[in-house]
Amino acid sequence: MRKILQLVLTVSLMLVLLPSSLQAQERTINGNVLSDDDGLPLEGVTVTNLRTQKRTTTTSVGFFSVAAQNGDKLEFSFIGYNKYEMVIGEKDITISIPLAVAKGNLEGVVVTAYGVKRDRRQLPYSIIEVSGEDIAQTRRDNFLNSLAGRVPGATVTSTSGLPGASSTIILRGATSIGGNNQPLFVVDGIPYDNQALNQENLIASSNPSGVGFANRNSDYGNRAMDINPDDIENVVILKGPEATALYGSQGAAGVILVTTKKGKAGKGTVTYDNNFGFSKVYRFPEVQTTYGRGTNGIKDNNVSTFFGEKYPEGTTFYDNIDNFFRTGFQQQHSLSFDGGSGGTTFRLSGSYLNNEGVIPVSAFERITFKINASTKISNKLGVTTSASYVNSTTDKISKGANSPLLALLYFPRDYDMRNYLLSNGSRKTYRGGGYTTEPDNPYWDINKNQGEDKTNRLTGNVSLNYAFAKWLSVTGRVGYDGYSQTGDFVTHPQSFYGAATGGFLSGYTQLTNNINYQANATIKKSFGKINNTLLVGFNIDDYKTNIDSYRGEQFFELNFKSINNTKPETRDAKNTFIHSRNVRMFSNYNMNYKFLNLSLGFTREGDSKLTSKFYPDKSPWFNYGSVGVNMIPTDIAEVKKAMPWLNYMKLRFNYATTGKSVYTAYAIDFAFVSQITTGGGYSLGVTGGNQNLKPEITRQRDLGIEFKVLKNRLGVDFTYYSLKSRDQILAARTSYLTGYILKFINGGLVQNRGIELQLTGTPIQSKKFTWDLTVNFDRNVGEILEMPKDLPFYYDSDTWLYGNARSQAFKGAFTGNLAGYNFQKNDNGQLLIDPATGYPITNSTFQNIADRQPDFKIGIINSFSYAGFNLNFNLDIRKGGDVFNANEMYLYTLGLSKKTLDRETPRVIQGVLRDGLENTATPTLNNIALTPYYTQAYYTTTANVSEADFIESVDWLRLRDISLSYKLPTNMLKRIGVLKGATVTVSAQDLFMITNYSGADPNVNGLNASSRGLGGAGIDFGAISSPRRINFGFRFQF
Amino acid sequence: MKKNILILLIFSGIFLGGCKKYLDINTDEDTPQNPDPTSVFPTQLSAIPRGTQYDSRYIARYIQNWLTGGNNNQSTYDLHGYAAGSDAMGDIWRQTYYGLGKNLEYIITESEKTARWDIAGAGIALKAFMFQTATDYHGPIAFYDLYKDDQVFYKYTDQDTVYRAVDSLCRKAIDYLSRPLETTGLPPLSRGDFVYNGDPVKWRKFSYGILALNWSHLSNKATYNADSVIKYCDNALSDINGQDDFLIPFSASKNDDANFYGTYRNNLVESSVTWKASNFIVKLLDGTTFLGSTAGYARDPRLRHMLSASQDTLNGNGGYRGVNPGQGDPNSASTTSKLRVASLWGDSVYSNPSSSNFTQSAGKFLFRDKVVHPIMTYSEIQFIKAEALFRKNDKANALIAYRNGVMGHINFINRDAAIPLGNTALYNTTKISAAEINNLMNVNGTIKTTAAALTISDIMLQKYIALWGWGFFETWCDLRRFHYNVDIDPATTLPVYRNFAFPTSFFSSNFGKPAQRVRPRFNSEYVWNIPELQRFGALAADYHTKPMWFTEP
Repeated sequence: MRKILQLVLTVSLMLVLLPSSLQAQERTINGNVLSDDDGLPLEGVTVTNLRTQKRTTTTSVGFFSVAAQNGDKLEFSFIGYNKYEMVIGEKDITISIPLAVAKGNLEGVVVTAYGVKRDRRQLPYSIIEVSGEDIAQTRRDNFLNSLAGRVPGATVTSTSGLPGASSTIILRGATSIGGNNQPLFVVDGIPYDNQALNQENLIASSNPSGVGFANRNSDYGNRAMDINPDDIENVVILKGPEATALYGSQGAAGVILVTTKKGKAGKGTVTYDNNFGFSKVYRFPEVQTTYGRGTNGIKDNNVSTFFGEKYPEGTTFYDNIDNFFRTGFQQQHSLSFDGGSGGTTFRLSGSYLNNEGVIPVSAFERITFKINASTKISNKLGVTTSASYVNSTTDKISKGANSPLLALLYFPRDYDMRNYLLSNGSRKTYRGGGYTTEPDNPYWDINKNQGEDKTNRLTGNVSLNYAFAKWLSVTGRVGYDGYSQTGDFVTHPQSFYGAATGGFLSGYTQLTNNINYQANATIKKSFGKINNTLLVGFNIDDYKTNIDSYRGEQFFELNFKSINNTKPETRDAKNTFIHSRNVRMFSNYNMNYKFLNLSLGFTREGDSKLTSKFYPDKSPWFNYGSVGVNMIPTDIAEVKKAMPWLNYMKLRFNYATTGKSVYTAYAIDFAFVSQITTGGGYSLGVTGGNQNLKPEITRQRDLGIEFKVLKNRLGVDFTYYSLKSRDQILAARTSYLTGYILKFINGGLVQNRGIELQLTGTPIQSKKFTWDLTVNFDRNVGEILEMPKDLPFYYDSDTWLYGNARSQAFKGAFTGNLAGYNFQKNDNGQLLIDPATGYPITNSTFQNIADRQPDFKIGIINSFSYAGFNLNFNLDIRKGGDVFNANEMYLYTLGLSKKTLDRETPRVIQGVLRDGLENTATPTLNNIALTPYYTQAYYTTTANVSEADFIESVDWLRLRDISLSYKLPTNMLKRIGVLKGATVTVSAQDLFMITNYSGADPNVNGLNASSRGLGGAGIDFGAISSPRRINFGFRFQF
Repeated sequence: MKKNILILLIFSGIFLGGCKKYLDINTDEDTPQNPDPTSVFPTQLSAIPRGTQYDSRYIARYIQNWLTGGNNNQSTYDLHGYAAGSDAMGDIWRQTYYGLGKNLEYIITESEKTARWDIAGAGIALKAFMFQTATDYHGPIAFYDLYKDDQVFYKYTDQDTVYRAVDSLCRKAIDYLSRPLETTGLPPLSRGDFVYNGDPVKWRKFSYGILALNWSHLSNKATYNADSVIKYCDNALSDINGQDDFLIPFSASKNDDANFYGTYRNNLVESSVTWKASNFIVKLLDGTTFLGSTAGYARDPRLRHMLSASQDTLNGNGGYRGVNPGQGDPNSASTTSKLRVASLWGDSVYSNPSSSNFTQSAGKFLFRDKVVHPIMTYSEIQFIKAEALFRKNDKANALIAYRNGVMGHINFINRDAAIPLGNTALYNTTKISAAEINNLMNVNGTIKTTAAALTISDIMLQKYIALWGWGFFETWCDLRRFHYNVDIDPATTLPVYRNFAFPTSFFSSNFGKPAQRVRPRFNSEYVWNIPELQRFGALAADYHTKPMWFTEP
């Protein structure tokens, strides 16, 4: 088939290049289109003359008639079938076209675990495929963000709207409350490292004033963002139990298989692609500008709370926010060459991306090179190889507490923030006090407290495929993935935090070297009507990460950033070296008998992270496996006859277990830590190892149905799943009597249940106009059924980042639980009031206040095409799911929230006094009147402000991506000459969002991507919202 | 085909066999996971001041070493209260089970394995000291049920059992430290011991000192045995010039290795309120308590070295002012008043004199970046001995021990030779002169010169002075044994701790009673080990006022 196509292409290319005088006049071509598999005529196939862009559709007997001349290219397209192109030759008057059933749709071949190509029909689980084109057209720096809404069951959360920000993706809900829930990334069969630097590994765990970093203030990116979206052919998301059962520990949270573009045989193609984008941030938390600085209604410009008098009329307000932000500018260029002949193909690509963010200084720059090549050395031996190099630089802006965003909000509006420097270049404080009397002006912060990360990454692999016999082929692969990441964080000697130590510098170098070896054999043999496929193989991973970090204080030169510029006695260094190995031996057996498929998987995994130096008997080995059955009733002749409207149907059932090893190395034996106290030496670290740790085991059940009706124009894929994860591994806070503050323990039970639905359809298909629609729907409910070792609760201290709210797990809670303070109530549910003040009183214990899991999510992807035009957009809808609007609470306590505007209204808070009678039949009703204007403690005292009041259940509808492209017709191109294809695209990201959320952007993360469990998703504190961006771009093919 | 399968089988056999070895790499390459005990030892020494100094911030106010300075300050701790739901006062707990805890177990086991008895003995001595401190502080604590891999809830042991267990630990330590040193070729104790430089004799003396503490605390019991206490004291620290003293020094090169009380770390404050010396200590040193006069000759020469003078030098005692519990300094609000009580950091010093630089000159007495934090001193032992002799009615020898105790403390202040790690001397500019010493010891009547004149109050009050600024936990034991200012000295018919005044009212949860113990650490026990607290009644709001077993008859 392919060879024929090549031939046709070559011939047509030659024809294109013929002088026009040789070409014939336009004439009518008649023909019919038949289905390749059963030879029946196809109705509704679109036939396009690519030169003239004239279209027609086939009739009920598959007949069509179209005007064309010699050398014209006709394109035949039909949903569910591969596109077919043919060039009209001199002799062609009546033609017959066979259309093949499409790959990458509900049927066809798909790449699954370990690069094994499998027939979709035989898969016992649902598989989601996103094309590289869809990803590239979103023009996102970090390709994870382009998956939002396109994959049912995936939750993508970015940490902020700044360039180089990290993103997390969770498939089907967080199964581990204290472990890693990020899926495994596999690029062309080789694991692709997606670490996000964890600040625990730095020597400086806090700024000079002791404010802990805890992954809150700085973002180091997630390394999967090193992939150039333009290199992606497609992305397959494996959530199904069988697939994860094959990848074990690493794939327990799902696997994202990325296949990169390969060269095509035939005449070489050169593609140049560019994009120019302009972004603007438009969503901010709101602040009041009625009341100025002061306390209890009295003006005082030397405080940073806004409980003073009203600003006098005629006060000049500065638009500090607008002045501060700029229009971001992004440009992208990519160039690729591909070609090949005689069994050898190659593709070479290079790309450049520069994204200057909406905050001055912030930027992300990335350069990538990639080469893919494959060749057939003999009839039996094939070699594929690829190598890529990525170089990126992120100029960072801090987030969270003391970030420029928060400083922007609380900076007085009657002060022009741009005045941040004295004439001699020193810091200017707006109150005129010392450097530690007020936090940094955002301008100062971004210009003087700069942070930067640089990454150099090299990946490569070689893959050999040898066909011993028709029924036996063996594949061997070696892959290398290595990078260095260096970065620093500085607080200037004159800044708020740096002043105490005369400047502060913290830096690191991370070197990661991962090597992967794999080999597998595929045996295909049929006995009668029973087709058998057996895959056996092994996979070995060797992961090394080395982090050297250093810090220093007391700068000699104020504005010079280097460890050499610090006082020698303040310098400190730390080394973190993490080495782990993982071995898996896997087998997967598939049997197909007529309409029935059976699939069995078994894997034995050995993980170095389970071994011990002191307990040699401790086994690194554990097993897991899967069993799946599916049947295709529409393959039964009787069914097909009885229900001719049902074009396709598949029923699936799948059961699997997955083992997940410890998420970090060295968790078994003693974990001594180097100390910098007097005399140095080692002592046991905060987290205690546990020699009894065993793998976390998840049992999954997965039921599904797929069908297609209306002549394949409507497809439905529905899945119900249930995951039970036992023996959770977590570093839990427990009694110090364990000898540690945190201790690795096993136990507990977490359940995730949910449904996923994907509808694919073509609502309109006419001669000129096609509308393709995909709707994704998902809902996941994660619950904690049992706590490990019956612990009262577990919390992730990193998430305790503002006020008293934190991600906390306890028996019966949802996995997205946030615990925090709410108001005390009596037994009848009436609010209790402090008799001394008239204020409500918070429980100073952590109560269940929010569940961050959405009720459901919907992604709607529309694609319209008309003539050469294509309009594509992706609507992302979310219903429910709580967000802690910590920004608002922060502003509230400062008197900047608009909720404090009614401060002059006297009030009596409804409730009963906590006077000892509150639980009697006759509680004392509160009658204490107060006017917050005069008693600001109403807003500021932590005992009177409840985190629960700042929890919002958020619904949104956002237009994630939209793009309009126009493909120039070929006859126009011919006049231009060398061009083979040209496309003009206008696109936009995050153009609008309709939401009930009162803050800026509910889809942010209070932490960076290194956090475990559900992380800081749903905690909105000091992160810039996603800006809207409009892009223009061209694509030329030569 | 068959051959292929055979090859495959052999191959997988080799593969499987080699794998375990291939995977056996779970050993941290950046930090040793089985370090030599001498590499762990320094962290154990430096972890001691971490816990004791952190918690002394609160206990020092119970025992009125210092008090909250802010005007009208009804500080929780001045009033013998506690902060519910807080880890304040939880650092002894942290030190016992985390800072030292399992690390000591490691040191002991590893050095026992290699027959390095001096290291094991020193480790056991530290363990005994830690549990003695913890039980005197908290009452029943976990002792036997500890450090288990798959256990998160733990059981406590009653105080009498812990007392006996500490006794046994000390005897074991003494046994180990008395054994002849074997030449093992392995690193010696001196490698990690920056306090005693690996001298097992000094460690043995320290172990006897713990025994002395342990036995002397039982003074209210019928089983109290003065002879044993005296014997342990005789075997404990014996150098009047302090060469046996257990002093933890600091390097003071960065925050983590500098003295917690120093100006760099700036911890003698609470929400910008500086802590101030109590009137109780001022009166002990300025002559009021002992002589009823604050005239120059009546003042203790240690006064100018230990306390800080205000600018009001004409107040009658040289400018030394203190505060009363729960009242604070009435003049603190003014930024110019000369009457303000100076901070512990120096004469006429009201705010931190050097917060961002390490300097040997800023600060005073034990409140500097690079001065030692004492754990046990010769003079402390002498006062314990004096009390035991006094109780035994051997007043002649009690007088000797008592006078040795005072002399030992004077020498402690005057010491400037061979201080560990070259730490700064404690005296203020010039040493206490021989004339001053003579006046105090023999002339002005503060220090008794005859056995007949000696009272239990003299011993306990001089012990209070000698332990001021560092011996918080022992002082608290003393105060509780004498029920603060309740027990009367029959010789004077005044309270043993005369002039020790309670705050006008106690913290609300105290229900009118002074503190007797500290609740176990909140973020360890009140969150994660509640069933056991229930068993001990530790959930009661006034659990901290429940008298201890050791103070009861």
